[in-house]
Amino acid sequence: MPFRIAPWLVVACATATGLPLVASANPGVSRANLAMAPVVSLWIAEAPPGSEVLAAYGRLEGRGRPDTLLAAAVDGVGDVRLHAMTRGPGGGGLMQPLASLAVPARGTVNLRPDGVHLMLTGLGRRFVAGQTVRMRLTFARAGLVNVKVSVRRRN
Amino acid sequence: MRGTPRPGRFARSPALALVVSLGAGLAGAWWSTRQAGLPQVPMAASTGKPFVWSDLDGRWGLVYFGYRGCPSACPTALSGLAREIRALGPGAARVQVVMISVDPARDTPARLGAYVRYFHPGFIGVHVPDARDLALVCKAFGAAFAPPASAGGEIEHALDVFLIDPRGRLRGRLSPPFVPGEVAKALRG
Repeated sequence: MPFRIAPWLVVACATATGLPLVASANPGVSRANLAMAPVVSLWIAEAPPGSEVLAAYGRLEGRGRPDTLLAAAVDGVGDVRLHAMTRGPGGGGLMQPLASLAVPARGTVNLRPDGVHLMLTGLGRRFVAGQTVRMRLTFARAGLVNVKVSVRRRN
Repeated sequence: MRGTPRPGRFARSPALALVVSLGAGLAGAWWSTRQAGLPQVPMAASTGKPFVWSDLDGRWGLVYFGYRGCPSACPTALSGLAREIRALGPGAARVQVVMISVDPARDTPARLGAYVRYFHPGFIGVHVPDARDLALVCKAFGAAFAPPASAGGEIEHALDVFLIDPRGRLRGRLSPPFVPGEVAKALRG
């Protein structure tokens, strides 16, 4: 009989330990794979009035095995892309699209406003501070990982 | 009639008074903009009034070039400025944060007002309707600016906040995100 973990137990453990809720939705991903998936701690910054883009920041932490973030999706969002803040030809700020983001085996990648972060466009609804939304991250090795992320105001 | 006080020339000549007061106003504006080397082009503030650089006289001006569609840099800079301004307490009255839109086609003064007030009720947005004028203003600050390659595309713009002192002189720039207290320190220095 295969080893299975009840969903309620996962939620209870995540709540008790304070870790973000991480669960694989990919049936092809083994439990061992999920256990080694990067720890995802992200949040979405509430958009100011009239702004039609959102950004997500936070960190991805390796758990003993290197991995690569390939894609992300959020409920109610048309498109999620990885961007890096770079300098344009004139010395000003420009976003540079990234195809992927490497997460080291034992290290942390910070997603921040002046560096790499996720940009969310095609908003189907308004995202307000205090809400929690589902984000799906696709890693090269861990596969599809579901997390819940909060919407917050910038400080 | 000797000994009877005579009305002054100004009182006798409303037209002359008008000319003199207009001249004084223009001279004041000229002096202020000359100090900062900033071009006085037609600009509208999100308050509904025209904006002139001398509006900042007597206060520190913290000038940022951004736009509402900016995904990360602008909201980060403005939220950081709001935090810094709140930390100034009563001293915040001596500071005016201004965001000049680098996307005048989409950022009307009213829309800019709602945007900047989200961060702090005292912030004002400034709309420069003419693209050539906007380029002049950016150049005067040494602020990078490049229109989008295609309609609706991303706009290259300066990431720094520019400081204008209470006498209208450009005094430097700060790079967000700010360390807490960084703006207060810059205003003291």
